[in-house]
Amino acid sequence: MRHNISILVENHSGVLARVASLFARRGFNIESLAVGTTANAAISRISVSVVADDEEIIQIVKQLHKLPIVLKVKRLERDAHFTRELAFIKVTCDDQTRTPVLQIVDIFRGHIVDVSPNTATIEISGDSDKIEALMELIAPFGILEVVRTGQISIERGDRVLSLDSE
Amino acid sequence: MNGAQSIIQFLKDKGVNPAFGYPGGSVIVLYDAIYQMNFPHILTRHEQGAVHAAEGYAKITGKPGVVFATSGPGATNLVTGIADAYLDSVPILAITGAVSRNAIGKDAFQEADITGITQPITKYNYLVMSPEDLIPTLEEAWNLTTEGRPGPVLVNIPKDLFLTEIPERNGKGEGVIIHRPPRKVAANRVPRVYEALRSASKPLLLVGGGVVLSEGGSEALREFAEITGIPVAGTMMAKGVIDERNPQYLGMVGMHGIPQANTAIGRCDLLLAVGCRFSDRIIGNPEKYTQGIKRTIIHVDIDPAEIGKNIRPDIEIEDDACNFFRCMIEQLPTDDFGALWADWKSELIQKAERYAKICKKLHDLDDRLLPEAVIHAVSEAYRGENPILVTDVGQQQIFAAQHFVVESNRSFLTSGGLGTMGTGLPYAIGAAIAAPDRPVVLFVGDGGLQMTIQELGPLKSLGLNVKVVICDNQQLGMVRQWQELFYGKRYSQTILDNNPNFIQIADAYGLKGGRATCAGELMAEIEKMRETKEPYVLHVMLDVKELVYPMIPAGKNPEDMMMPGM
Repeated sequence: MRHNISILVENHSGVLARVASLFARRGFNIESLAVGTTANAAISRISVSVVADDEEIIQIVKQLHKLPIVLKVKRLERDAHFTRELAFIKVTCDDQTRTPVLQIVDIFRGHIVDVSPNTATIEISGDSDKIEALMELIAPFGILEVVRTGQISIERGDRVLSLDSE
Repeated sequence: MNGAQSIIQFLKDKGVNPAFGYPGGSVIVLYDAIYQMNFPHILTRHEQGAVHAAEGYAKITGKPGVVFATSGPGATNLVTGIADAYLDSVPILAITGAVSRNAIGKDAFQEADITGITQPITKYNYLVMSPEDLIPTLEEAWNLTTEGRPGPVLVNIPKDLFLTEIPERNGKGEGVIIHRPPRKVAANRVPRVYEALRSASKPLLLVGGGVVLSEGGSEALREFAEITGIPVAGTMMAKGVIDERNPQYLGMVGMHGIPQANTAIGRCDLLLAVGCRFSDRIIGNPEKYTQGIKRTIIHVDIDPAEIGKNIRPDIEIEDDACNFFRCMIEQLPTDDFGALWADWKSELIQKAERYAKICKKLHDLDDRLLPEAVIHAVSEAYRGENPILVTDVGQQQIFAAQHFVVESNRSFLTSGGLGTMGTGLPYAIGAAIAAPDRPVVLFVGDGGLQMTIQELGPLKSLGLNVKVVICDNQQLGMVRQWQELFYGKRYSQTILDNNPNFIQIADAYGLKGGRATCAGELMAEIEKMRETKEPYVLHVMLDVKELVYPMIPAGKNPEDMMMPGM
């Protein structure tokens, strides 16, 4: 089962490597990982998407807490948070195919951010299912390159993940 | 003060006496400060010897063992010891020199990314990159070695920082680390524990190395056991935490645990585990263990990540062992909650008596020089002298754990988690330095001794009261045992048929010693060994065929125990 964990860490060099290597040596299965600073420049937030059963997840959270540079760990509750990622998709696209490509991109509420005589680059954000669905529809046109960010998650409503919050 | 002097002053202020280490290019400035400031330092003959000696020191005192090494090969020579300390929760502060800051990452002379290499085997490690960070980092590292569950911390210092002037610190530095104190929930959970004890008819209190490490844990355990009358068994790492001659103590559990203890863990209906991490040497097959007999498992540990890691407990208690026992004692119920235990206890006593008869025969010394008898003879010779027992790793380790009696807590040094051969001799050196008034008795095999034999050097130059009993069976005994039992006697690379004359080597190092090839010689040698406070090497030619029993094969459970005669 997929779980999304958000980790607040000290913003030092090497912090991401420490977290990633913890996952590797304990045999935990990372599906995707994204990191960026928070409102507090001294603190970064790591979003990890991991495949594990319920007991393994408890162990993962406990092991993360043992790392001194980890400030807070939260396993985001199913249905109480939402997840997005961003992707660039470069497709073969000429005068004949540009209109159908544009139509598909529109339907998915994506954007064309770059165009050339025989390519177009799509920018799309959404959950992984949406991104994959778009890629499936675009594939017949010829996908040249895909760049994805990895998922970030945030909780719904007034729940907040910060050092001061519960 | 420059960096080197600041570091030495810092360690002096912490009362470090002594540190262990081995010099080299990147730390020559540090060693200059050691010289000029008269800092107490023990020189071993290899960095591995230094870190293991620091471990021996730390295991006896509970204080951080400090070890210095130079960059590159010096630092990488510490890796085994750091991993050893990590698995056995030993507080170690390793300070390594690194190449200068402007040379880092350029494959400089004697450069090795020890920070990257030791990341998985330290509680945390640091690469200091600015003068202002030096002392605050050391402060933090020092505290981290003993906070909560002890462990090794490494601080890697580029050598140009040793020469750099360090700014005077005003007050404490800012912590990088958030220290999370244990949640200490014992007081609230105690009623549930007593509820479980009351409905159990076959309870077992299993104690591990965590109780040894817990300050006051040993006394609190003894009181708790006495008041409640609950049967107690221990892991190998817990040896000595409760008086081994106490009839309530069933003995060592695990792969080579003794019958009454393993019966208890296999057949109990309530397992109260304190300060133990359910290593695979204890419960071979956790799934089978939890599916068999219906039992309640209560797990008390200071490290929350250990609870639920190997085995799922019914009651979880994140707390320090001493605090747990104290809370249990404070909230002792007035009724006879142990009323159902009588039959269980007498069953265990009967098992213990049967095993005691087998042991009596094993302890009968004759010219075959069986290891059980040899170790028993040495143990009896030191009865009443509160010796420190040190072992290396292998058959001699298990025989010593089974047949040598220690008389107080923190008296048994052995590499449990990592099972590192070669730790015996340097552990003994560290122990003798930590406790100069106690005799240190080391059992080491012919294999293990040759891994760190160079440390016979410091033994002589420091004149330590260490008795090295070489258990020589001309093989890599424990591996050979497995080859005999499980690999069709295919003794692949386990015959050490070209051993040197160890007494000649001891003599070359200036050490007294003797050889025993029969019972008479053994008893004479033991007497000689006992009478002197100088180091002594006793080379015992053991019977080659003896196997370690009892044995629970890997992945099996207590009911699969192999024990001839039972």
